[in-house]
Amino acid sequence: MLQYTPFTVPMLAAALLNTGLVIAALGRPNTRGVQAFILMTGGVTFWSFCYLFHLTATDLSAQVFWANMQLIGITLAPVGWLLLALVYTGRIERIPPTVLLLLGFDPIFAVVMAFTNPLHGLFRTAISQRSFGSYTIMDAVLGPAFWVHTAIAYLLLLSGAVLLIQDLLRRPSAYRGQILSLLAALSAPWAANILFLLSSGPLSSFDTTPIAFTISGAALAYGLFRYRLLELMPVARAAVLDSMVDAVIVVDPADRVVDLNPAAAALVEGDDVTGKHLSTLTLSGEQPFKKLELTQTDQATAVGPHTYAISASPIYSRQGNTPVGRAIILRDISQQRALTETLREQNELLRQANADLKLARAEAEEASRLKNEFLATMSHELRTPLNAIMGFSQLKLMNIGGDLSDKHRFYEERTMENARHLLRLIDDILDIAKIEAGRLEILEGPIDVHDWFSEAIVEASEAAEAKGLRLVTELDETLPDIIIGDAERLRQIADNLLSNAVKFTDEGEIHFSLRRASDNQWEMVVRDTGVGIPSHAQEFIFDSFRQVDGTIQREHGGTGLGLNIVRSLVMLMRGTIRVNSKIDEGSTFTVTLPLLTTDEKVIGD
Amino acid sequence: MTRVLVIEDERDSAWVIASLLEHYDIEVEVARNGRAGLDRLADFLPDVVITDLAMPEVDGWSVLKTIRSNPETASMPVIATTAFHSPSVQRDALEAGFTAYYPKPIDADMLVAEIETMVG
Repeated sequence: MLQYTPFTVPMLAAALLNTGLVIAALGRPNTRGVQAFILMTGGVTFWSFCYLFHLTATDLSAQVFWANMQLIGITLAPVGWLLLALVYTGRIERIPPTVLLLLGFDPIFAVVMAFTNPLHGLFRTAISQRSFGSYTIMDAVLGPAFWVHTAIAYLLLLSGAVLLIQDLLRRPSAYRGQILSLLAALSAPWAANILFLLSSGPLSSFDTTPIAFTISGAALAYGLFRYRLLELMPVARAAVLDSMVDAVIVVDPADRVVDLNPAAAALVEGDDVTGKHLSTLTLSGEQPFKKLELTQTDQATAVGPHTYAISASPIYSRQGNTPVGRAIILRDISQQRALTETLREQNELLRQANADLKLARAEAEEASRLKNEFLATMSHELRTPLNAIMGFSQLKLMNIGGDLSDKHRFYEERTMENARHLLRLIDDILDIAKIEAGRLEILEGPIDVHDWFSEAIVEASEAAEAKGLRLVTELDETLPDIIIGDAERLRQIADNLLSNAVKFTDEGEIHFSLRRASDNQWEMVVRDTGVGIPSHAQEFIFDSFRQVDGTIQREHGGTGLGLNIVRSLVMLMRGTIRVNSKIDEGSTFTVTLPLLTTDEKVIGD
Repeated sequence: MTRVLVIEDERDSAWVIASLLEHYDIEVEVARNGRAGLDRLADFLPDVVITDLAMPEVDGWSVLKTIRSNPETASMPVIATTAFHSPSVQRDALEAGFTAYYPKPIDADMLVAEIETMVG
């Protein structure tokens, strides 16, 4: 049998509204605190439905069953409420999970005691039915177990309320709407429940608490949608603010301190500065204390060893366009400052070092330039009188000043020969100076290979003949008739290598050949059957003024510059030179050069 | 008789060249600087000019320029000499319009032979 009571419709509305809240909360599963909210509203929903069934039933056993069932919701709602308050105020993390498990005591205790009541009668000492016109309701005399359960439930509700009220007082006004809606949600059913339990209500047999929970639901819905209760848990912000290293001071539009985070509290002189005007605040540095113009923002200020950058940003409430205050943020920029300073110093050092280096380089370049200039000038200046000596010597040898006796002629020839040697030395030194200064030019042009070859061997064949050596020459016919190169410098290379070969060979032959090495390379090879070069010396024979040993130099003459110049010239011509030698068997010098023909030169240009 | 004007600021070099050429029956006149050499051109009317390249004020390059720019002397053989020889100087000299180039010390036989072909 079912019945209709005056409470059926309001209770149904309450149940449905709370169901809606649960569904809305389920749609935001990632929101902080949503589980607690679902537990609370879910509890109320369950309670409302059970109470609805309880009222609709006419049979006493059914009424008792639903009364017992509704205890599940009744006991879970305060637990959810307290959890929500704990989450909302950011205290949930500080409570060990084992302690949280204690919250499960009342739901289990109350439900077990209610269902086992026929065994002990501690929950309801007497149960009867009362009729009010068309409907019948259950009437019970409540036992000690019920009061224990109620006390626990109230304790939970009260704890949550206290937490929220505490928080309300600390929060900036922007969050007060949220908390007020939470407290409104709490207070309505509370009042109703107290009324019911004291049985002084107009309808003492009806528990109006679920009805009052309709008001709760509405208030919570308001909080939920208007203040984004679940989405904008201030605790998230509070946690961020609390853990911030930057000091944050919140002031109202009159610049009075409303709130400050721990970092700011540690920085500001005095224990409680809330309500004080911003301009009266003093920041505590280690030494000395410094009065700070906090009202002047966007500045950097030093407090003791620290430097703070001060900035301010206006705070707007959700409703208005006018700021409800400002957040003064003090960021410790000492490290950045120090870092910047260090960086600046290092930059300065670097700049200095660079300048020094530049100067040193300029000095070195200048010294090098002066040296080369000196060498060039010197060789020019040395050459002028030497030219005169050689000129006059030449005049004498031409018998222009009268016929020379044989002795005079011999002396004159020796003079001329030594002058020539001196001239070659001067030329070599000038070449070395140019090479070191990077000013030795390679002047490339077409070379008639046959002409060049026959001219190149004239001097060497005379020198070889004079020493009783044979000069064997070989010109590879596969070489082009015309190649591109610096004829004079190539001649210098050949002269040096050939004169060395003659110089260091006492018997046997000198072999001189030009040959094609590959499609794009050609080689100049000078081979002798002379003294050879010990392998340890093969590395340094290309260095200036180095011959294998001093004795040989004195014995064989030469400037000691020839091979150095040769190597430099070959490198400038983008070629390579290598030596292959065995003591007492002879030496082979091979110069490998890129083979450029006239056609390629044209294309290349 | 072949006439050669030698422009040379260095006295001994001038002597050597003059003596050398005179030995081959060449009439030589020596000018000790570029300006004096150019002044002598009109009177002396040389067949060949031999000039040193490096001289103070009017150097060998300027002498050549002046000779080449005057239509009456433009085709006159001008031989460059220098004690400051390098391949690039030689190239520059020939490109500038010198008829021949002789690094010092001058190869007398070749110089005389060349003058004879020039005058030919």
